[in-house]
Amino acid sequence: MGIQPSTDLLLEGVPVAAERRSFRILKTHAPIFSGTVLLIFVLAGIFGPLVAPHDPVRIDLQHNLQPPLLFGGNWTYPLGTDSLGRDVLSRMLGGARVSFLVAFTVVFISGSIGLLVAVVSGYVGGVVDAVLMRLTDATLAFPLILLAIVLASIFGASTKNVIIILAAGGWASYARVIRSEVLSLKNHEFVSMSIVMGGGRVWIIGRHIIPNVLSSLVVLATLQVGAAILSEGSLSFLGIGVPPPNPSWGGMLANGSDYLTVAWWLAVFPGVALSLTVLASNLMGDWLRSHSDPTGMR
Amino acid sequence: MYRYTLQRLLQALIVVMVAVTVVFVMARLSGNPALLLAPSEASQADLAAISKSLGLDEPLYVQYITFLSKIIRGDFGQSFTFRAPVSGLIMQALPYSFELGATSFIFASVAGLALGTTAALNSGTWIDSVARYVALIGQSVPVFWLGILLVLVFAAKLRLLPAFGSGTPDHLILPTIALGLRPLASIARLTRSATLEVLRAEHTLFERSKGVSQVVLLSHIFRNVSLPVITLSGIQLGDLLAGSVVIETLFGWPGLGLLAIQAVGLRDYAVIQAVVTVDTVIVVLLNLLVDLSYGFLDPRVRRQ
Repeated sequence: MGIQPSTDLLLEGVPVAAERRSFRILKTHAPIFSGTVLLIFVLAGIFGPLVAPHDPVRIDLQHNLQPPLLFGGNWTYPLGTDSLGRDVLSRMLGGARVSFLVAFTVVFISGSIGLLVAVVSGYVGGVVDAVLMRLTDATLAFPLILLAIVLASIFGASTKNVIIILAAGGWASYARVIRSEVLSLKNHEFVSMSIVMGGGRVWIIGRHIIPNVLSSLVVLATLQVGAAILSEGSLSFLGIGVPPPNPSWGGMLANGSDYLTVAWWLAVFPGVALSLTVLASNLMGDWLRSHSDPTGMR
Repeated sequence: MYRYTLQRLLQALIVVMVAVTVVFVMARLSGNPALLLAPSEASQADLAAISKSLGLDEPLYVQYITFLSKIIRGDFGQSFTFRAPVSGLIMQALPYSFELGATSFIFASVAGLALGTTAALNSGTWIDSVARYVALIGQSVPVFWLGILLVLVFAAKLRLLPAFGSGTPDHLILPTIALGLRPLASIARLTRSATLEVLRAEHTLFERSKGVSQVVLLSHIFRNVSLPVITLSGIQLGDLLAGSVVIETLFGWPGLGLLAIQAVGLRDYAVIQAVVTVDTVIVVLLNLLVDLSYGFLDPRVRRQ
């Protein structure tokens, strides 16, 4: 479960410069491709359920396991129906909303916590820094799937639990990466100048530190959107995420895996949506990272 | 080096303690821990017996110490749904998880190293592009969807390999590939960039000008590449564990992950707390091993 945005960012000092050479087509078109996919995802998340042709949870056993449009199906169910006769397209749009909601809430919460920890840790230093960084390391080392299993076994599966778990683990990589930037920023001359001119801590952090770490924050957040969607999908697939009958891509795949021999479409469409969204978020994050700051990062 | 080892040991211990404490606290937060552990048809007398064995009438800190001392002795109590001692269930499942974990890790590192070095040695050619696409896809496709696709193609359509269960070596093939592809992708990516870096280094240029054979050159590259790759495997252990829960569930592989998910469905908290404890210990130990291996692999670390 890739709850941490990207393992790459944690490997400081590991050579990655050579990464950028080939892949020219995908690299130059990365923002167009991933931007389009992410835009579709966001639109589907916001408006999807409003334009969905059917109720995603309505059971209609007379029309179960209908094939998709181009494989013998009809326009009523463009992507077919599942074993209970629920419309796959409508459920995918509903799943987009769930993933969208989870991803953006998680990114917002863990980004805020991570930024706070990073700024406090990096700027204050000393014992506070040591304690916070040990806590960060421990969080990074702790397998969150186990927390998910414990929560689900006691309180049952719920979307709220998914958000809690992903946010509880997601803040640590923000804290790690941004702290090291704060450390180098606070020794810059413009910070010393500001101190000389009588700038207080809060002023310096708000005026000089935070604006300078924003680009890293955006990169990490973009990567985390994909990671959170992936984790939500895994948890829902295991039955400890978004509880049925609510539509979710992971849950649809779990259901579809029982009907592989008779209804391949149940296991293919949600997987394509999931993979494309994650791929787009990864590519966009990488692209932003290499374009956001011409002097820093790498 | 001693200081470093001690520091890491302490940190490992803290993570395990935190996990065990979370398990303990969560059960108490739920209201009555005896209800979590008891079978649904338990009588008042059963509940009273369970409460007594947990020491629920004692103060909380006494309960905590009782809980810890039992865990240290490997006593995880009785599972009512599986009708067996929990430690027995764990010992039954553990070898399966180790087997799948080991085959996936070997598959991922061998194939990842091979792919990464081949790509770097042929950088800029189509081989390089193929390798990079494999890496990109491997990092974006969810583990469980990959597993489903493998089942769809190799089990449902071609009927070449079994889709479910365990027993023969054939049963290992699909889960190994599904679980290994993600680490394979990151190992390949990292190996490629690390190898390119080494290829450009002065000592490599010197060796080449001396006329050192390709084999010797490769062995030097591997030594230099091993450190970042091992760091990566350490970071990815949590990922691998999560993946193994998913893959074991999908393929019906009777390891710890499947046991945990079955236990969630049956609301068998005795099994859950045991799996969580054992899994945390395993991950933390492996992480510790990774951290300490730097000293052996890189003399520069030892001197610090």
